[in-house]
Amino acid sequence: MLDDAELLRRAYAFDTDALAAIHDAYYQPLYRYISFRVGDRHTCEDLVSEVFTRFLNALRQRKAPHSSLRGWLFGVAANVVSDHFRQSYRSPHVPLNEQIISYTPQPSDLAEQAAMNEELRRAINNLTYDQQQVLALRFGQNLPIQEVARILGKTEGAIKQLQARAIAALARQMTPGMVE
Amino acid sequence: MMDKSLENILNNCIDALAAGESLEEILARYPAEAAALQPLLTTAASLFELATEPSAEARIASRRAFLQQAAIYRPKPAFWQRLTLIAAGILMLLMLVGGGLAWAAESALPGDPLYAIKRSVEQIQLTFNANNEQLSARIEERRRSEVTALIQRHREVAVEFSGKLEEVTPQRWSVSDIPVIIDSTTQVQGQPSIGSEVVVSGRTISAISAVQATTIIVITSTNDDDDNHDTLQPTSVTLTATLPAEATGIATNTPTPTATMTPSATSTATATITPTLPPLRTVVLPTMTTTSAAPTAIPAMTPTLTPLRTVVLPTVTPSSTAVPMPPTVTPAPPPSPTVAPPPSPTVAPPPPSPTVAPPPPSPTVAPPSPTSSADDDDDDNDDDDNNDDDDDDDD
Repeated sequence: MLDDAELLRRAYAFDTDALAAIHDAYYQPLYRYISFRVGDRHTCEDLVSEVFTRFLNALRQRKAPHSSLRGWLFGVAANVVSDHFRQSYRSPHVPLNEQIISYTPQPSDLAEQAAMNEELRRAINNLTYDQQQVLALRFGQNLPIQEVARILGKTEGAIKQLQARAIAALARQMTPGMVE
Repeated sequence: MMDKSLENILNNCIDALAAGESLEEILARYPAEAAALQPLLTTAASLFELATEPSAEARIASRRAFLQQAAIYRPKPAFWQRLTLIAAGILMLLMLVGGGLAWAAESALPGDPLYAIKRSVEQIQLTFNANNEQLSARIEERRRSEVTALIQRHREVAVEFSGKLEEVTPQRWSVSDIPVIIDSTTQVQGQPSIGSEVVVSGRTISAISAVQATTIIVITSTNDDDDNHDTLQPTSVTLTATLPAEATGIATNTPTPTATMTPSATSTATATITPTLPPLRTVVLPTMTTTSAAPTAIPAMTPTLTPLRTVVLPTVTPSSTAVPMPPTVTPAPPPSPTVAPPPSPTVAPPPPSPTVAPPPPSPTVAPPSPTSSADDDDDDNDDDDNNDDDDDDDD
């Protein structure tokens, strides 16, 4: 992951090459992070763009980081996602089960998978912030524990504990019969 | 709450899942905890499938929009932009001024402050248009019209021009319609005849509305010979040594007849230093007694002027007791060295004076033997021998 201070220094000057390098390096991880939390593809694309827009604004306001860009970007992604959920909860929207039904006809196992994924995401939304971050990085990015620890600024032990407890909480939710 | 040991096992199993091991394999390793692990690992396995990959189109579109937005946000480097603007402005101003000066100088006459600039511009033109007959002809024409203008305005300035000898009367000649007054002090080199091309050096005199000639050099006669010295100068040698003129053209030392020196006397050789304008051509005057160095010591004035002859005004130093004079005077470089070059960057400095090295007077010119008369010596010899036997004069 690109993290050097030099890249950020040039980004502050809005150097095209530096900014392009940053986009190329982080677009896919950010997309995966967001799609871990948000199922709809178009929404994911919008939210990733929002992350980069907030990055540009932060550069303009000189509030962007001067190092550790990855952690900062994932933090912005988390905010973007939670903002999205907050909005979608506030504004009237189609109930989730109807959303699932409105999917284009697919082979039944895929539809089943999609349904379960949505359920899973909903369950993740019920976790603590830290648990959500750990899961998104560990499972969305398949990053090793020590990487997750570095990005989140926590110890490996703390990450492991968060991971285990998050899984347990999810499993409890996913168990048939248990509703959120 | 999960106990610590199960937590550890779970984390190990998740690592195993991440490494690609199957659920069954992993559970088989922990038979005691398998029941508890199974829902946890199933959930974990599902989590690994949750994230999706972005489409290529989405990535490209995002990149483009991102960089476009960045371009809008990119701050203009104010300092450097301002600096560049200022530099461009100064450059333009200099060019305008320089151009304006050159334009204003076009109508300058000898004696005007801008005249040196005019001549410099001409030099530059000649430099970039070597062998351009039309340009040279035009410049010669310009010299003549300057003289005419000076006469009309009753200005008295040292001038030099070339033209065609059209009329010869005892005291008054006409060179390309310009009246030229001749008197006993006038030095004539060559065999003038009607139709000859001549170079006139002198001064405009308002009282007579003409040019009082100090020197007339015949460039061409019926046959155009290049550097023969047969057109020799009789005994009357009025020498005016010309040195680089000052830009203002104010002749501090006029070529007055007092500068006359009779060679036969061989005594005082007074070279009058007359600031004159650079001659159009470099004409070689036969040197009385000068050494070989003389002709060769005069390099071409400018790379572009094709000298018909190289002028070496005869150096006549009398005896060894004579005061060393600045005898040999080479065609001076354009007066520009004394004039600050025009401030415009577009006007190149005048032709480098280093190319014209006025030969050091003394060393190259040996004092002629006391018997030096108008010798016709066109071979290189030093003063050593007496050329009394060589006494052909032609006039």
